[in-house]
Amino acid sequence: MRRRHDSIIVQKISKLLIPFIQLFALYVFFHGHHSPGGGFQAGVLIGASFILMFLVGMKKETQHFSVRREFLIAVLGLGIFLGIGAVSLFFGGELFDYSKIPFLGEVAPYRRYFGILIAEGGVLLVVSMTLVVITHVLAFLPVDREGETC
Amino acid sequence: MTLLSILFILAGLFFAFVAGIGAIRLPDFYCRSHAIGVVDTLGTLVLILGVMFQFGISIITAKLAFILIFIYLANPTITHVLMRAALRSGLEPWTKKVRS
Repeated sequence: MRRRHDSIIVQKISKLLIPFIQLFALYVFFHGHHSPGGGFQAGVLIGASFILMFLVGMKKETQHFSVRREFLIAVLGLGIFLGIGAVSLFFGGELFDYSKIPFLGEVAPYRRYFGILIAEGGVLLVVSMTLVVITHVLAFLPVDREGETC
Repeated sequence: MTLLSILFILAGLFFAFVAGIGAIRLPDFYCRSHAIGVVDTLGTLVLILGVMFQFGISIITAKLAFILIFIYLANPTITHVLMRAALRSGLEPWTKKVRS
């Protein structure tokens, strides 16, 4: 069962910090091309913020999470990663050759830029939701299965 | 400006050193957490303040200010959580008694 953390300090500070952690995750995500960062690290930050939500026990914010939905979003991320790589097969390129995709931009560097960005978005979904699924299954699921709705 | 920066950085190093001594030498978990949560937070804040003086007004100062606010909020909260968990799982606080 997910209970609220009974210390008001922890509740308020977590509520204050979680949006900024997620904002910093987006910053890391969009800087993946020209500084350290990228989809994997941003996914870890987003997943950690969701795990913090679970641990503190924010009922209202986490009521739509279930193992099924998290797993579906992770699969969607993998589909985005492989799908944007496979699109270039239809335009005469090889797999993961983003410079052949015409709707991403005018010239090859822009096409590669946006192609890598979309693929890293997929990586972000996979990593964050995999972390949340592992935490959810290990920490909360057996009690959820007995009484509460999962 | 540079003198002020050096002064703050030296003060931060001193507080961090004291926190390290406290984390090693104090008798039990609660006292050590107290040393980490109070003195180490102050040391880190003063150290980052000194580095901010080093850079003047720029984007690096703004980023350091965000780090400072984050550490100021997060470090005492984490110490608080650890102490509550230790107390709830039944760790006895240290009292001065003679071991036979």
